[in-house]
Amino acid sequence: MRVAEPLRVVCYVNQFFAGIGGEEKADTGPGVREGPAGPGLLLERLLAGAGTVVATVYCGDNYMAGHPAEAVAAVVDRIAGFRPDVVVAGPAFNAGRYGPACARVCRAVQERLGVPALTAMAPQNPGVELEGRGLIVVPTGDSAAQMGKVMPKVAELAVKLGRRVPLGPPAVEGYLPRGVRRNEWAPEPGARRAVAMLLEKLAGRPYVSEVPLPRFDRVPPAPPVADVRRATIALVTEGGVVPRGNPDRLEAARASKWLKYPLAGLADLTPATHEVVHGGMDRAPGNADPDRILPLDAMRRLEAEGVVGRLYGYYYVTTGNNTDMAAAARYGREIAADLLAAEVTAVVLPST
Amino acid sequence: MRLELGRFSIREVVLLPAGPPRLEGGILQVGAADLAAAAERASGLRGVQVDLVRPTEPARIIHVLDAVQPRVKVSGPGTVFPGFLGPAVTAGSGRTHVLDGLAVVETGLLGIHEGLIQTGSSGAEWSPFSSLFHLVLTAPRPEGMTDREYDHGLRMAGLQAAAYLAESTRHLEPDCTEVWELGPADPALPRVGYLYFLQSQGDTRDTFLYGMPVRDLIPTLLHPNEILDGAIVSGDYVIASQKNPTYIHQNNPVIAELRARHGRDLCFAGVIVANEHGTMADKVRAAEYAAKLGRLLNLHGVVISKEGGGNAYTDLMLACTAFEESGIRTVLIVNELAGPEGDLPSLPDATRHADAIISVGNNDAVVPLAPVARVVGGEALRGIPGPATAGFACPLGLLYAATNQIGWTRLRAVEW
Repeated sequence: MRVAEPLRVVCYVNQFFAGIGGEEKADTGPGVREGPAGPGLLLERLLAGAGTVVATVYCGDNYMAGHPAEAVAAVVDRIAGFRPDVVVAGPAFNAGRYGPACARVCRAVQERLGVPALTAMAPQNPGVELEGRGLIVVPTGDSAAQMGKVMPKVAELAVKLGRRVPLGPPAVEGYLPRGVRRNEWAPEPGARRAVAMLLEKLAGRPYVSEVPLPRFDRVPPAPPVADVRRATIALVTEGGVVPRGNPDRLEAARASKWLKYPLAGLADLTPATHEVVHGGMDRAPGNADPDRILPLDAMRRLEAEGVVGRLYGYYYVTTGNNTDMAAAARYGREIAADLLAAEVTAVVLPST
Repeated sequence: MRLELGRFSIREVVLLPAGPPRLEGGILQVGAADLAAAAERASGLRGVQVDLVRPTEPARIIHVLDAVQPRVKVSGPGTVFPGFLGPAVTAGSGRTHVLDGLAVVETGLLGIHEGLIQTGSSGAEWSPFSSLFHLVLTAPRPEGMTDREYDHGLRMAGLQAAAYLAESTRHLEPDCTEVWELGPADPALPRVGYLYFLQSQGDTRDTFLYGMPVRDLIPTLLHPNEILDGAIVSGDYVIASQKNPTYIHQNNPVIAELRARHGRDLCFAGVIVANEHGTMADKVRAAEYAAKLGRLLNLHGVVISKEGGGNAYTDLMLACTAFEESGIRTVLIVNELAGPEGDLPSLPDATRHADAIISVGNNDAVVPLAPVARVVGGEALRGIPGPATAGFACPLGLLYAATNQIGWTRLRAVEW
């Protein structure tokens, strides 16, 4: 059996680990050392012939922070010249400029060169939260004194990545979870696991919840409308009320878009003119009278009575049924931009 | 309450043109015409078509509405599916026979979502029912019949077909018999209950308790045995993967697990059924009321399951908070809406009390389905162009009961 060629490894480090200097040299621009330097020396020993550190590319932490796009591009250009099988950045431990720099280099190496990359830093390093999404990051402690503890795992993963061996889950392989949910088959059915987890919880024994809780934004509310009698009010709904025939094919669930339709000349929505496509509820009442989802009749009354200034001439609609949360946030931003451009004062958003 | 559940294992089904159902040596003979006639009785339907799909054949059942396990009451009060096939007499005592390995599947174009079962080919692993024989009922909608009437008709057809098939076992000796009776348990054991959320939010989105839709249900108590005789029947046609079909209500795995551990590591203290309501005020009432029942049962802990998605997570989280604040510890069973890449938040609602959650998988994961030789239940897939036998990739959401939140399957999502 032929022994595999040693992997070509390129390391990225900052000015300190490149041996150039400390904080006073943090403005150093991108450069290259042939062979290993700093942690790369230990890495090459640990690779034990499976790989060679062919070069060390470095950049000063301040230079990286001050010229993010240009510095990363220059670093990646230099890395490319060495045709690596894998790139190792850091370890950055808890260094707040070095961590993000390592993460940006890894991402750029993967995206521009198609070369696998990994880094290592403390879980609370801003590089993880700000730049680390989707990257392989080996967790470390705060202090570089733990270099010896971390590098064996870095070496092991570098070899796997370099050989394009698919990695197992984070808990098994020893990298930070990347916030991605993937389905697998558990040894026992959910019902059995539920009762087992409850018994652990009741006995005060440790257990691990299988689903992370979402973190919600705190959104400061807009200030109250100064004078509603002069205000332009728009109707916005996720109730899926569309012109009869659904001409733009709004989905019943997982909406891929939002739509804007005219209300000019209409005092009332009826089944002759509109229908409800939202699939997450019984549509019969809404189809019998679409005003019950989008209260045009009530708004026209308020307009006629002078309670509001006027109803905006268009309404906005999407379907809020299992719709992707990131997409829904984007629709909200886009609709808001449209409303601001039309100088709408406030919105009535009936919910389903 | 004591029920003897006599189980009969089916290892082969033979569909003949006619004849009453006959079970011998694990082989069930079914006459299509007789089964169709039994299904049609009092359903308002005519021309019910019966198809057999075996677990090993590469096939796809589409437009799936409900799956029902054949059972029949051989002694004791009432019938199976009380409120539908007989008076609403309390179920769960006497003797009931079960045909294991077979499901009656009702299909139809109701609701808005496609729901399919894949068998005998790649993709079958996502269908919890793919290892069963399926007797699939398809019935044309009679002229002028409303959604509600058609829905009722299909349901009656399925329940009647299921009971009729199980009649074949009435005078036979079961392969095995389980005795369901909750005797006294060591008072030192933790008292554990089950909060069983049902979903009933309108036509074609109903769940039935003794034949009554639970839309206005104030949470109430259920004895675990009652589900064995079909006290809970599903008419809730939501997104297919998060569906709790009648079959799973009949075989509720949380109830089965709690019963198995009763007297050993816990005292199975009771089942609370509650509805997942459509308004916030009603959700709050249900959560509070259910927690009160938990306190009256002196529960130490409760497992909470749900049906459907979206707004029903709020019912779950409100209940979690109400129970935890009562000092009753909770475990929740949920599926996740983490997007096709798995990188979106898993849950649309949360409470800090929800620290013990079981995952039954990410609904949005895309799975490949192999092409099949035969499609039963319709001509074309809803919303998916091309031949209905074709191979294609689709979200797990289309696979019937794949991520049901009573914890039937071993599927879960984990962090990568």
